[in-house]
Amino acid sequence: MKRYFYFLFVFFAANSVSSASWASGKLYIASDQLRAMSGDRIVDVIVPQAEISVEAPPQVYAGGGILGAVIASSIQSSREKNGEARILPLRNALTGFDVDGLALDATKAAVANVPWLHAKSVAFGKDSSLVGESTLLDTNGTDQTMFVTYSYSLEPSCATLKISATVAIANKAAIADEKPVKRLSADNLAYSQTITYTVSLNTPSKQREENVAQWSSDNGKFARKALTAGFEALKTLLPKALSTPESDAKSVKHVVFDGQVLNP
Amino acid sequence: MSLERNWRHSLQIVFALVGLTLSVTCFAGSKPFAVSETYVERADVSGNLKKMQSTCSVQFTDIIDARRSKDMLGMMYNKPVHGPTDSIAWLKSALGGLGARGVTPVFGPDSAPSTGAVKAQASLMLVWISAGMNMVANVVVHIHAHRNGQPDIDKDFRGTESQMNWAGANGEIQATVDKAYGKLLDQIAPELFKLCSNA
Repeated sequence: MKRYFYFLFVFFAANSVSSASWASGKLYIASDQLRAMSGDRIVDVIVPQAEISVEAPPQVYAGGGILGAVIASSIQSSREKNGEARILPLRNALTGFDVDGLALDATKAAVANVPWLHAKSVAFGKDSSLVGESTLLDTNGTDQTMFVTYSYSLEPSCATLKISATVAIANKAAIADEKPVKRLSADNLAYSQTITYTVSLNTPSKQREENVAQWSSDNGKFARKALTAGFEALKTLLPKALSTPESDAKSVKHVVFDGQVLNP
Repeated sequence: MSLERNWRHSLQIVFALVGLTLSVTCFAGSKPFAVSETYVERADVSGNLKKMQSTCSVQFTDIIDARRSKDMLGMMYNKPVHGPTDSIAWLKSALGGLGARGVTPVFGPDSAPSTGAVKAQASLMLVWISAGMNMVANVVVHIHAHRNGQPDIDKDFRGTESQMNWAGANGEIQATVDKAYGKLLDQIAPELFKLCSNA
């Protein structure tokens, strides 16, 4: 039976409004001033994970006080352990699959199609800490650095695979009377946008283990295809987000395509 | 007895919460976490593995770190966990743990092939530690082993350790990674021993 992929494609716009002069008033739109800036930028790709993860379900409220906290924490601990065990077949099926390479290639292709970025080079790392990024800002040698931080995971139901790219442009210049890491806070960024791409199982089961089994079957064929397709799509989605003009602000707020995968 | 066990478990959770809060507060501005390159046996090696006589010698001709980012082992409380600078020495140290499991590892190039010897290559594919309420470490090593004309071992081995995240301290991280390595060795040793034993 022919299999079809339909992709759920979501833009999440950053909510914060920056008071910095770079921003257009909407952090997810590259302002005319930002685009007009001459000078190169270093692009740092960050993937702060080594394997696919599974999102934890929402926190349980077990009542107030210390007893409630103990109960809620115990449940959360148990859920984390179960989640780790549940996703193991998929992790085993994806061992050796170079997701880092996909992220790096997608970013290189994307920034090459955004002329105003003047992307000088694209580097790779796994340190997503504020101190780590602040150090990169100082050592990169350019006035601005663009960070593209990726994550890939299964949603709690394990029926949907999600790839997210958070793009942030930060300034190297120190902020008076502030620690260096403050350069990376939302208020001080020149640009910030998150793009999420999802692929869902067409006939998901209520049993999460069965959903993981679908992703894992045939050496993780579905999952490999979904990840490859997701990063391939980001090659065009990232430039589209970065190239949206100020005058067209409303169009990027939220775009959704329904996605399905037909099972054999 | 059951009620006592429940209370004990609840107290463990309380202490873990307090430790976690204190450690996040105290360590928020301190240096990154770091794992040393010396593997330490953290748990009793299972009885069955200990019973195997150490007559199995495996020559590791190649030790490779196949990871793209060799310096990072994880992120914890928005701080990086750094691995040892010499990851090859680290993997050798961990494979040395095979000695406690009935397999004697020898490290060196395949310069003088000897008949009947088991030769192997080990590739470090993945080491990662993450933390929430639990601290979880995963280690994956690919082993390719052969003995003249005998069936090969050519597969990935995974060691996973999950334990309560008491205080998010460096020592806990080190112990969790070591335990994950230990579980990895528990799987590799019997298969190498079997290859040794095949006449």
